[in-house]
Amino acid sequence: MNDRIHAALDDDRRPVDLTPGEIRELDQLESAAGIAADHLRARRSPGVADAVMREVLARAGDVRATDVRAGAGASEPSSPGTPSSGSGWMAPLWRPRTVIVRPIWGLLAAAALAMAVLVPALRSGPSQAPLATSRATDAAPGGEAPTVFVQFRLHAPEASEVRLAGSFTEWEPLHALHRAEGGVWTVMVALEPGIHDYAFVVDGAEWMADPTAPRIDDGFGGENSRLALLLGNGMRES
Amino acid sequence: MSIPDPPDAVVVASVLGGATDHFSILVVRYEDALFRHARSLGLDPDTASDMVQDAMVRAWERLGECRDPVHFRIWVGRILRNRCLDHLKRASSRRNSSLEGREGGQGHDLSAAFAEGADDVLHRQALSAAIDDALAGLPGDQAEAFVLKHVEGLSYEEMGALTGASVSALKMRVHRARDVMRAHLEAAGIGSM
Repeated sequence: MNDRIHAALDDDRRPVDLTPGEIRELDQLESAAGIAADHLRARRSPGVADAVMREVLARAGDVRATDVRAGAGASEPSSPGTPSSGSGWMAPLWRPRTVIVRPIWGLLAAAALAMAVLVPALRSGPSQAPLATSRATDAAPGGEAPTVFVQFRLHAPEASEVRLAGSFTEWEPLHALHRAEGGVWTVMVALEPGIHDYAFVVDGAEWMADPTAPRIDDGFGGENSRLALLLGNGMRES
Repeated sequence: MSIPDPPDAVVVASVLGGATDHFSILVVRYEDALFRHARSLGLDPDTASDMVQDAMVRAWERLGECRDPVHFRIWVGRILRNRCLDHLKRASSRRNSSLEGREGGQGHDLSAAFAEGADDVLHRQALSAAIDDALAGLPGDQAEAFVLKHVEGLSYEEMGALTGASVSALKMRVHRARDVMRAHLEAAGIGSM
């Protein structure tokens, strides 16, 4: 096969530089590759997610047991590559906190990596204040706000369903939390920077504030939780 | 309220931060691509599925070592590839498990399927057989390169990061695979050959 044709298929050469015969061959090659690719792309894994997560959660449980036996004080399954956060000197860091993110393109990797460092220090018991990390979008040029991914968690071992409602959902309980190990329910939600009030809805009836986050009066005799995602000149805790 | 899928780096950070269950996002996101990659290396479906499962568990175990979580897909692809190659080495005595000089396909009589005025089902079967024959007739590294390039849409640079091969070597593999794929489909009378 003519290397010039393959070079054109790889965008290393302009098709207009090819002869009419070469262009016909290019079309045939491209067609064959496309047919094969479309057919192969339709082939799917039989589904290993359940098996993988069973194994992962089982191993996470093993790690927790090891930590407890070692007196590390960890009360949750440990994560790979993360240090135990159960030490007493870290306790003040468990308080609810705001993460300030800088909305510039390209911050994603830095923010995510920073999250890997920050989150272990922020970990608490089965429940913890929502944690946030940024997905820096092309916000800066057009002034559009970046998206911040916030992880909400609630320790509710007796619950059969937990949902999240807030000012960002018009107080509709749109986000279903997923049950994790140890009676912890969790969900990751994309939010815009700003002040957000929220509450958990347990078993479709009980509205409850996040026990680890700042609370505000809901005006109806109850309380909601408040989360502040503010934009600043860098990512730091406040 | 639309909820964009969190990027890999965000999910990785979340998992490292303690949300172990969020790892399922990455498993669901990449299991199909990893499965196809394993199959391109010559593994049967059951073994390929086992390799994907094993690679994902290993990825979780070693997630703290993922220094570039933006490219988690490449990183986990390397883990899968190494697992598959280890498996193939151990099974090298079995003819169909060798990366080099694999046997051809099952000798499908493609022309018959089409000559009989095959319906859609037969057409798909014949197409599938022709593609399988073409891939099976290729050395494993060429079949892999074709799948990574044309099926998974990776750049040559990403393929190089995943396989450890040079861009020029990968291009040669893809070129050869395209030629073989076209010849097989042409012989089967498929497409506008």
